[in-house]
Amino acid sequence: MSRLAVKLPGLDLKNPIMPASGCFGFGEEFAELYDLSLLGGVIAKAVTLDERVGNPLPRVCETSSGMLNAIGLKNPGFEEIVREKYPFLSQFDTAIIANVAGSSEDEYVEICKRLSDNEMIDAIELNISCPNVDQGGMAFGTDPIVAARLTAKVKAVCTKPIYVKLTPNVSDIVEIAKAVEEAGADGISMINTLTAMRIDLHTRKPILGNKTGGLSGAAIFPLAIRMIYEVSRNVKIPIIGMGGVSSADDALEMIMAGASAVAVGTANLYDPYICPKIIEELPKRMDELGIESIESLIKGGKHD
Amino acid sequence: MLVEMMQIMSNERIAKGTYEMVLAGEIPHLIEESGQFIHIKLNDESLPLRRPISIAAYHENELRILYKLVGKGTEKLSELKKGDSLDVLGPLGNGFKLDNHLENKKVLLVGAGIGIAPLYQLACDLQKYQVDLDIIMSFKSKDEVYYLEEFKKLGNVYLSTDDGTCGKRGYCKDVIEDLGSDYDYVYACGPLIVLKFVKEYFVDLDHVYLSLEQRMACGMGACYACDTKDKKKRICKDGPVFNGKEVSL
Repeated sequence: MSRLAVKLPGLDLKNPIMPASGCFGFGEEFAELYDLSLLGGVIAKAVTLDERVGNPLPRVCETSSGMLNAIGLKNPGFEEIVREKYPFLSQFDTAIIANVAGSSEDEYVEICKRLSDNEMIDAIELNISCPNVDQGGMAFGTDPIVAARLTAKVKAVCTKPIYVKLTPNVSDIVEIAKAVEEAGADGISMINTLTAMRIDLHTRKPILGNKTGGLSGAAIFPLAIRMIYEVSRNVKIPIIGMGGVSSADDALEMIMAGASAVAVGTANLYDPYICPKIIEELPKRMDELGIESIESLIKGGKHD
Repeated sequence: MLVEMMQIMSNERIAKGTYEMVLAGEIPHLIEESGQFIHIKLNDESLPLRRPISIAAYHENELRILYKLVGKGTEKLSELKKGDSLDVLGPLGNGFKLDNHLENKKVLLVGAGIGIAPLYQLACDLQKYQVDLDIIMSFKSKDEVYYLEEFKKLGNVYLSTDDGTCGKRGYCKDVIEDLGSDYDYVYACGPLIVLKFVKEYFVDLDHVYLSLEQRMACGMGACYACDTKDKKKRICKDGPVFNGKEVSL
């Protein structure tokens, strides 16, 4: 096994680095810049049953060391994604994680049921934490009973490993994590964005058409680290960590906090080569920090 | 498209709050037409997003951008010096597509404020089609006027300022109304209010081309941040130039 390789339920990753959902589309644009086979895996843009056109504009703005987004789960819908987008990704030697979203429990269950025997998908990231849609999304992820019920329903109809994506917009993320673990989640994906806002000084109104958006980027990294640290000490299932990662050091720090793999989101939007750069830099930084392998770093943690 | 550290050849203030920067590198060789843009990353962690800025001119291994100081990013940009390097992603977008149907036609360029910038290369490219070229340049005030002499060499310039300190006193729409609608091709770039007026005023014309803008993140079509108002097209990848009939504002 190579120094960077990691094994998680359903995911045999050559390295622990994956683009996070929403920041990479379905890989078509980034594939023009580099070979996606370099990546440990790809977490695709959210899929909903029907096409969603997205929120009113503007959908993004910058904040200090971060950004807000309120894209609104824009995607072409299940049929087109299964017919064209997942096949595009499957030509590369990289794991594919489908990010599944919905406005009702039935929608999540139906999509997962349909993906259960789709050979192109290695795992599912259950998006119960998007703060940018009226129905569904975060509503499911803020209540441990609802989150657990949805996890159990999806597990009942789908043979793919299920990684439940948690929202930090809660008082106690450990409570949600434990609830979904108990309901059968194979892993946890965390953290999603933090609900936030900016106001335009000239119009005196919120900048985003949706008014609020999700804060991401380097500004949220310490929050992600703290939450991953806490959750990893309270569940046994593995964590795909994300939240403001923009360097090999950040990825290693996140693994030390308790993650087994790391997704990079926002950084792709300003440095399209960020993922291959991090992958390339990891071995050197591991040498300098006395880390033998990613697996050994994962195993070595969580003593306290 | 490429990500490249381009070299700053010059960075000069050319009007109030308005700068002209010349960059050298490989990216200019990839530019296909006027109206495309570059996506600039500042060397400041607190300003993570790239800034999309239209290409005003290009030739061999150099390109020129014009930018206004509108926030922290452009302020930082204005402080860079000749010899510094700049992280650029580009060229991006679909620009103004020209063809032989333009031969000898009556063409109007409508530019307001910093929107005038991409019209410069367009005006240069239109020369070879021997068009009858009218160019509207609208500014807030005399101290913001730039490239007046440059455009005068390329066509008939109609200048206006909101406060009347230079050229006609009035808004862009006033000059458009003065000149009338008897044109074969219209190209416009500027604030949304100007684009809306152009689209409406020239509603019967097939060849109206508008350069749109929107807050962007990736600039390459992957993140869906910059849709047109009808949410059907991406301004960074399907645009920024659209036929007026095919886009909602």
